[in-house]
Amino acid sequence: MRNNILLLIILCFLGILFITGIFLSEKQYNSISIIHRFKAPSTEFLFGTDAYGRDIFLRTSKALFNTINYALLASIIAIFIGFLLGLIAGYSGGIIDFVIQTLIDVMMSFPSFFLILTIIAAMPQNGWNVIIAIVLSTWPNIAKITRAEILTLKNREFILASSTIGASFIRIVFYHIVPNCINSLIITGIFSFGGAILTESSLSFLKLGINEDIPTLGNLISGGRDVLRSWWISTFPGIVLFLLIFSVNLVGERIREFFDPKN
Amino acid sequence: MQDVLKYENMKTFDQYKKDNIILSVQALKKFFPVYGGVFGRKKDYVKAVDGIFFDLIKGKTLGLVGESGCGKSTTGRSIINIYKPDSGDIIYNDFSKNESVNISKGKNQRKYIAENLQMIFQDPYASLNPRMKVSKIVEEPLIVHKYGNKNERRDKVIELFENVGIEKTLIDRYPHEFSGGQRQRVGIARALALNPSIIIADEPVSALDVSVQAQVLNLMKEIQDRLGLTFLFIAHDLSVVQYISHNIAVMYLGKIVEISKAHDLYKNPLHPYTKALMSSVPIPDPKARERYRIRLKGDIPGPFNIPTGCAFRTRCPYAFKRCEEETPQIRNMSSEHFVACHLEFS
Repeated sequence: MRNNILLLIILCFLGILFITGIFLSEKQYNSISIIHRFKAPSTEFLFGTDAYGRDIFLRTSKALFNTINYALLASIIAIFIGFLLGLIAGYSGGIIDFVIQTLIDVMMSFPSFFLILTIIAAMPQNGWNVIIAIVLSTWPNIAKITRAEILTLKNREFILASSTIGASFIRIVFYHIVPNCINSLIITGIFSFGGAILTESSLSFLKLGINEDIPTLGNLISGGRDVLRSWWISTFPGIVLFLLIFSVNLVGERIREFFDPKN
Repeated sequence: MQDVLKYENMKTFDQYKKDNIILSVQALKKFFPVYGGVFGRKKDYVKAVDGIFFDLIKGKTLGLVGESGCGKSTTGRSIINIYKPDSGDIIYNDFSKNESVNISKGKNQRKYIAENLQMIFQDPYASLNPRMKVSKIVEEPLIVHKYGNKNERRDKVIELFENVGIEKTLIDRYPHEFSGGQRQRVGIARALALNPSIIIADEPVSALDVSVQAQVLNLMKEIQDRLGLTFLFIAHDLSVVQYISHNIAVMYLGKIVEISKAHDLYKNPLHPYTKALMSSVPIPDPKARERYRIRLKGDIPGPFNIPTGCAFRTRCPYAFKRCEEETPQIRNMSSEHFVACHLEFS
């Protein structure tokens, strides 16, 4: 119960930041002002200012919005591809299953960071490179979990029953398979979302990710790297990043409980 | 020899109609490949169903009995096309349209089969989607086959639930809120939704308590009388089969060894395997303990080393040389009593 209240407070805080982020214009979060360089947190600048006198609060808020967008897009694409391939592999079996499984194994045998860095290096730095890198490193996990789930589901008698009443493949998938593997799909989805946020942030922190002009949590944390005396520059985006990952995992757990018909 | 049998049994629709045969299974075979070795090549086959023949008489129940792994469930599933039969014919005689349809051949027959043949599954805990309300489960076949609008479907669903003895007030619940017997009733309601003429019941009561078994069996009998349904009743419990069946077929390792009228089979079993099965039925009478019993030697052979000749010879107390060399063909002993055995019966 106390856990829920804590989660609610964190979500409200992140929600306010996120909504602020939606409406911020570039002028607001990118306006440079030399007089206000390295201002410590105060009532005027809630989270302080950075080396260019930009308001960290506004930048963090925009960064939260941007990070969530990139991570969400990446994980949705990864879930879609992973689920589809896992479903096809698990349901059809035979040679198709073999081909998809081999593909999954090949993808998984790359060290994921190496794979990501290769893609980052090979593609123009326009944001899509990060998304594609995340998708390529995430979908095999989702496909593997989905496939295992489908394999156990497909021989359950209620699936056979709906095929004996003449239900189409699409119907069986949407009415019987998806609702019964939604749990693991949500959990893997949420974890991939959390993973995508972390990957994006660490890439941006290493200045390999999203273009530095666009505020993302990783970029902001990276911005304070050389000026550690101005601790607030990295700390506040860092805290937001931590809270974000923390609440993503908790929310995933709550959603899973909600979907369980026994509750 | 089997080919000869096949041609002998190929009849026209009129002949089927004369004998009131609604479904005729001819030389049905279903082998499952087994993969093995480093490269996952086909190593062997499990001959789950190895050329069986039988007919279903309209409005009657055929009980299909045998030990675990003898292929009785595979037979049921092959008929309803969950498994594609490897060879053989399954002739469905549509008495209302006056035609015979070979439902084992051709594609896109799923809807046709669904309208005429339905299945009741063994495990009522696994055969209902845990995330669907039972009303939705029973409505699904109606939706798939485009029956009426929402209100008409709802009325039909309520009627179906009434037929199987589930109250209207309970139908918007989830399967886990029901007991095993009630769940099986839901399964029966789903099978009845499309007004099929044949229902394949794959051990429908073996997962239930004994007291509930009787209720479900009585329900099935009552529905059969009311709707003129034909049942293929697959079971391993002989007393259950005796209670519900008009005819009984005994299976052993993918083959039918004996098939006859129910009372005939129980009174006068011919095949040694049937005799052994019969003498293993417990009788609630202490005096009957002295009766002569056939005790089978050993276990059912593994699916990879099915004995040559008669599959039963390794466990048969009467086996002789011929059983090893020659596969016994099914022969007519008396009126509608068929047996596959080399022994001479007097």
